[in-house]
Amino acid sequence: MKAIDRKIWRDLARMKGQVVAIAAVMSCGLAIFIAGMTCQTSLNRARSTYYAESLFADVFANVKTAPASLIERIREIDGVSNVQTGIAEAVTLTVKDFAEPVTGQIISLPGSVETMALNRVTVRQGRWPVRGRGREVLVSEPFFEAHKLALGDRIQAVLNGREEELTIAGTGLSPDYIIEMPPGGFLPDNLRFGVIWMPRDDLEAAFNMEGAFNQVALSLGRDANQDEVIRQLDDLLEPYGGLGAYGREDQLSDRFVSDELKQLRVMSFFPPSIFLSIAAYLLNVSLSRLMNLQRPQIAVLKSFGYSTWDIGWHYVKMAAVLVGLGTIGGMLLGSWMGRVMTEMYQRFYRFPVSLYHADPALFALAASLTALVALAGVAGAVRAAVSIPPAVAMQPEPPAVYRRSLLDRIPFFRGASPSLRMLIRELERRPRRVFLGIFGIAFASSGLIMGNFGKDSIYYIIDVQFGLSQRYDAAVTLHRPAPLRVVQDFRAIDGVESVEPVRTVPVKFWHGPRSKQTSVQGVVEPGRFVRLKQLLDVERKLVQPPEEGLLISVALASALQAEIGDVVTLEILERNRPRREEVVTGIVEDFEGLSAYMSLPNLNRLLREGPAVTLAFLRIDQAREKAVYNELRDSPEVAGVSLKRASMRSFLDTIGENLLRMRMFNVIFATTIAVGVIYNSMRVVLSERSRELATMRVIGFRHGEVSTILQGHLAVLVLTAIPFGLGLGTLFCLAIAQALTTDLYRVPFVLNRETFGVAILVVLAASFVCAFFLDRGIRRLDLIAVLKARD
Amino acid sequence: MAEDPRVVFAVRGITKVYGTGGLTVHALRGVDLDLYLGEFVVLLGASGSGKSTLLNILGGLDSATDGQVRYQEEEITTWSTAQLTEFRRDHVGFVFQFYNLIPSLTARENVALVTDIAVDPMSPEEALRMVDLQDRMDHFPSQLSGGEQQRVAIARAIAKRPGVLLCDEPTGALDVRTGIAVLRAIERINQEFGTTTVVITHNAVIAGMANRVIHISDGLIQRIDVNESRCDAGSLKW
Ligand SMILES: Nc1ncnc2c1ncn2[C@@H]1O[C@H](COP(=O)(O)OP(=O)(O)OP(=O)(O)O)[C@@H](O)[C@H]1O
Ligand SMILES: [Mg+2]
Repeated sequence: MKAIDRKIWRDLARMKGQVVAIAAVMSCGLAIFIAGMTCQTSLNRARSTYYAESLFADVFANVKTAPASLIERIREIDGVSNVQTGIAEAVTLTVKDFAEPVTGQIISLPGSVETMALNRVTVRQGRWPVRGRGREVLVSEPFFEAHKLALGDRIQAVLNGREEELTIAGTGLSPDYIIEMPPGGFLPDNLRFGVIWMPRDDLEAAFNMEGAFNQVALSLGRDANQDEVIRQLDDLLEPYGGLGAYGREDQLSDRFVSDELKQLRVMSFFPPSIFLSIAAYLLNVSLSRLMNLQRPQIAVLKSFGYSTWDIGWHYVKMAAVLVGLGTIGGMLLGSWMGRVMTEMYQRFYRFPVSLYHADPALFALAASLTALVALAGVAGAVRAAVSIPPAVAMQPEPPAVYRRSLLDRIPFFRGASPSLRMLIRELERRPRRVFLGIFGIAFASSGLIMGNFGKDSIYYIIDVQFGLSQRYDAAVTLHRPAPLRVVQDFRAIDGVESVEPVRTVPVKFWHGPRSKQTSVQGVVEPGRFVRLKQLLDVERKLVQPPEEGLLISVALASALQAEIGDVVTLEILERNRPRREEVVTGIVEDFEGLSAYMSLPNLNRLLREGPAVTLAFLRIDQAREKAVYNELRDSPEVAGVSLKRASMRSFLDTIGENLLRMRMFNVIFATTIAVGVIYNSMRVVLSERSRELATMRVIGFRHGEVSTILQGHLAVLVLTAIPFGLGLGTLFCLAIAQALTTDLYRVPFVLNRETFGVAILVVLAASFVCAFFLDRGIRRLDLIAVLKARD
Repeated sequence: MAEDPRVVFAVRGITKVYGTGGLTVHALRGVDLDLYLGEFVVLLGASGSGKSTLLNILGGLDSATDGQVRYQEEEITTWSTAQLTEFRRDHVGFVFQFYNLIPSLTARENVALVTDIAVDPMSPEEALRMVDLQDRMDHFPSQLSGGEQQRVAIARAIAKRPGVLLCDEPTGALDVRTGIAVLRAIERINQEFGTTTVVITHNAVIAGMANRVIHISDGLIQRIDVNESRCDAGSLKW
């Protein structure tokens, strides 16, 4: 090794604390980038491969009942290349050893996979079910796994009011259920909702649907005009009760994957860019300091004949070692995190192909990204030092120039002790550096706020949704609209305390150029029934659907860009598809996504029907819950029952672990930044001031007195940064809430006081750790060496 | 041990060994020395002979490997670092070759730095007047020449009315004229306050100012010359 290269290692070893701090901050940024991008590319890749293999459709539609012969006319629509029809029905299920209500979606299956023109089901275990043979079915893999079922096991299902026993012939996955969302839920719940595939003949027979279908999927040719196909399909299906066709982008499962990808994009660019900029800044400050210290060395090297280029290259190499360390750390951490996070996704998003895919190109990209950052951090410092002519560099850095400032005119300052003046003048002398230091610490504090934002937001949802809004214990969905007397039937069940009936109707909303397909709930007048689902506005105040007009959820309001007072058009996707204009009279805090409410009489008028029920909320005596559930399940009208307590528990189970993991990552990263910035900034200050601090020790100042000067500096940085950071964190959370909110669910912007408290505590703790090391640094100052040499 | 009340420092058998194992350096090899109240001592010797080491031990900056140093009645060689800090704070004035002023403080504030923590200090203004800097009190170090900076350092060292003033090559970085101005300041302190003063120098001419000149060589006192008549700083030439 050449002598000049040996110097690199010696220098780095001497500043190892700083090296570690900078490399750690860099690693964190890189790790988040790699992990986020790995998830994103993995998910994206798995989705497109799977869609291609399984012939995933482009357009989907549901219809009440259409004759099988209609398929020919659908095929003739210009641009359609393949069509698949089928039957899908909601069912209630009973799984052995699982006492709670389970609902399912049962879907028809042709004789073999080859005859599936679209949305091919992949058999994962077992075999394709054979028709007529003891009700064989495929069940979805996540459901099968969640219940720890075995091939050949039986599950009970209520098909069209008749209890039947289904035999599990195998497990399957299909591209339209990459994520299995229970109706009305906002997270998958594989214990309480599952997809089941049954041979078509069997299903047709069970639901009296021989020679008919109620769902259709199409794939489009290359140049097809999707909007036009949807329009024509709607026209064809309308007489049979078409519920409105929609494209892939509105298909629930695909929509979730797309939203997830969008969120991942936000995550893999926003935080890493902050981390890497901070790392670049730290690199710059530390390297500049090193150059200043080594001015005489640079001069000596130049006088020996090393060229400017040699010397610049020398420092670039030194930075490269440091950056290399950060890059390697970031890659290791990032690929581990990417794996952990992909595993997490795999629990929600099911593909028959492996999800995790580590893209070497991604690592190359990450490496060049850090190289770029390093360059930004190094360039200025190296250029400044290298441009010093040898003669100038030979002289020590001239005494730092300080000047009297405005502060000196303030009477308080005139009485201040010299050490306080030293502190203040130092801060005044380097405003840019002080500002950047504060900014860095503020970023760290904001990271801590962001780390706990997820938790605050989720608990707010739980609080509002399960606590304030849903006052019922069970939600019962009916197969088809029933007369209002079912309310009496339900109330007659022993253990049912009160019942609120609701009429839901599929609708399509229009507002200006925007349209959204969802359903509207007709809500009874508060006088006639006990209201078990409370509608709350964004201030959590109770709102009622007006006689005339419409309440819409926050998500629907933003999807339609509609505000209170706006007029929206709604088209009922049932009967003769009446259209009506309604005024938006209120916006409801509702986390279920796109929902809308109007008064039941108003809805009845619109539908030209008498009061009818499709959904009922029940309040149940806890002790009799099981019995009530059993009785409901056996009722022929009931399509499904969901218990609030159960869904709340599953919500917490599902989200709890992920939330904890993400929080842990966040807190670790934010703490790394905090320590990295504070330690590095203070280390540089200590190095610059070591001479004067040592002098003070020599002339009789006690260790504590000298230490206070630096601790004061630290305190000023940290205490200014904290409020700034809390504000910044709040802004970031607002931005994140906005970025993550989708049609399917809304992320409420809520921050609890504890979140701020924790952030403050962590930053203070990080400062204490740094203060400790700083104190040790001062203790180790070599007093005699200071007297011997010039700076 | 001599109980002469005029002895400020009594040094007995001081050794200083740097490093351990095969790489040891014997900086002092057994120095015996008495310094008297109010005397002006110059330490002369080749580079590496151990002058700074001795001065640092006297000032409580460094500790001896072996031997004893008594300051007035106290045995400082047994003191902890905290006690040594207090000793420096209350009794010792240091002047260094490279001034070591705090760049962010004005001349007056640099002196105030010491007077704020001393028991019975003079005012910063008074101390600066002693070194003829009453006109430059509100200047920052970067606005002062080397000699002026060194005089501020002297003012800073004497403002606490130290028992002993220790100067390690105070003129080492200065030209003749400025060096003389600095020496004149030191001489004045020594004469007006009777502060025991030790000055390390490489410049034998300065030895003329001293009461006694101590020659150090290779970690030992080689000889001590007593000047019958001292010449004042103004008459020095080199
Ligand atoms: N920290 C140290 N570690 C090892 N050896 C040291 C150390 N400090 C001083 N020495 C050695 O002790 C000896 C005496 O050093 P000292 O600084 O007292 O010399 P000096 O007489 O003041 O020289 P100069 O006139 O050059 O200042 C020298 O040989 C030096 O190399
Ligand atoms: Mg010396």
